[in-house]
Amino acid sequence: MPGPPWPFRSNVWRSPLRGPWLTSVFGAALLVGIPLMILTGLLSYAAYNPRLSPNDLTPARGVLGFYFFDWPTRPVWLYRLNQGLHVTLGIALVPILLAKLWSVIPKLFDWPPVRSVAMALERITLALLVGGVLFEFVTGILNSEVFYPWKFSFYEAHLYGAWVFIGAFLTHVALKLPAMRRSLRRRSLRAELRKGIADTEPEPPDEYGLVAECPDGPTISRRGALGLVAASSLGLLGLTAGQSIGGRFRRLALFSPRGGSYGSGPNDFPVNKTAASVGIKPEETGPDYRLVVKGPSSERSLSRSELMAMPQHTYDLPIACVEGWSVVATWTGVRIVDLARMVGAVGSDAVLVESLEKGGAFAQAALSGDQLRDEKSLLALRVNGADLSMDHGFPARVIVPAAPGVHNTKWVRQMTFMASA
Amino acid sequence: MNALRKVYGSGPYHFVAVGVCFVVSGYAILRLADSAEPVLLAVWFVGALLAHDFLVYPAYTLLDRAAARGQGLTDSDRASWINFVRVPVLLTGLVFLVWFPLILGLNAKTYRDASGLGTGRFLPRFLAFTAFVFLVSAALYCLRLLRWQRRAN
Repeated sequence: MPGPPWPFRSNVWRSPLRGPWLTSVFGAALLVGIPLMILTGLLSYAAYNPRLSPNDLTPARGVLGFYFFDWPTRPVWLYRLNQGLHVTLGIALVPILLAKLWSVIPKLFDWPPVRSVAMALERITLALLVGGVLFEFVTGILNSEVFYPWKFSFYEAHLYGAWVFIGAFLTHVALKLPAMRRSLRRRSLRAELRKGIADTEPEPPDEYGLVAECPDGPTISRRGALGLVAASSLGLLGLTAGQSIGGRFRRLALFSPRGGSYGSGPNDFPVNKTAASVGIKPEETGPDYRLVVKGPSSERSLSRSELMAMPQHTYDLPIACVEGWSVVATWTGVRIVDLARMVGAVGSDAVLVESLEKGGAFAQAALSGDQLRDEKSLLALRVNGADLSMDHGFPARVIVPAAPGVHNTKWVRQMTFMASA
Repeated sequence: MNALRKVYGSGPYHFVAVGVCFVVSGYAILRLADSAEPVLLAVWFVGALLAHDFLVYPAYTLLDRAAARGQGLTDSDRASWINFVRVPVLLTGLVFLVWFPLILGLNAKTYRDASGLGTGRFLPRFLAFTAFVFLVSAALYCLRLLRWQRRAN
């Protein structure tokens, strides 16, 4: 019988390191990391309060919002932690993910490709698993750098792609967890970490087809390979975390979109969109600026000096972007609940906040009843002791504890308090 | 049960486990099909898979094998340099893989709109980082050569 075509031949795979134990070490790391990615991702979705219709960016979600809850306002760093974890961990997992894929690539060229119905179905789930995880990492990382080489909505892509992946991930864990535990027990990590290149031998022949039949001699020890993956993962973590931790650590985020240093002025901290990019004109924010506050039965129009004459409150609150970066600032302004009281809408279920922005998905956002009544929810006029700069939302912007950055609407033009149900 | 094993090729546990994926992922694929750009999404999903398995993986494997063959010409015990190339290539390659839009300024317009900043600082930083990593690696390699030489004497 003639052998299988070239890439399907078992002697194609030469690395003496491949084997179920090594794959299981990477698998175990991902088994910690990926569930954290899923959890923070699902929470991030809920944080947008998509049940309030202006916030709904995924109208085709069906039952995928089954777990929605009113996103809380405490602890104030909740969204900051969630997003920082999601993005930083995602980037740190890149080397581990690539190493895991490297370790199992011979399985892609199994011969014959299908031996049973079970195998055919499982291979479909694996295509969804690998396609899903790559799709999620690519869309997530590129979105965090505001690079959009596609024309679809990031929110739809990243959400539905996530659930395609989650289904395949559950199946993969259910099918492979026993093999992973078995394989990990066959070798001790500590013993493996003591072996240099001279003692690096292939794993014994395995039932999974991962160990090379005709391995080359080792050019790196297993310790070296594991160390390299771990070091690059930690390196990426170190290069990313600073844009979420802030302070002097921000300088360490050499390549991150909101890393580096921003100067020491009160308004010298990152923004997620500039006034110029959304068409804010100077005359709209000058002396003629009026904030319109609407309630179910009354309406008020307020100039900035009238807002400044109201009771002012100051809180240290983080502003955290879905893209992972965040910063803590000292915000001063009017409590949103005071504006609600002004139009007799303290019991309101939601407030629609509209910006002077021309277009864009976040020219408006709705805040929930809990958010608008929180004492730390402000319509901020000043930051770090100075007037807001144009890019930070002058004349007035929303700042709500633990809310996603894009819901802290800048250049607020109108606030409409909805009647309570 | 034996009949299932015969026709299906595995046991009921496998059948149920695979079923979980078909239900959950299948539902998500239906949601995807309901989205604004279903075809484009599918292209990117399949494209990500194909790009890794048939472009990225073969590319780095071929490079690595070429390097390993190159090394085979020298006395590998004494002067194994391959990992002093592999490590800096991998580290700088990963940085490039994660941040290439900023390094190459591919997102210059959206990045300026978003942050008010240009992307110009990233390429010099990346080049400096690359030079640094390779220099450190080269220095470590020289140290190792010296140690070998001393041992040989």
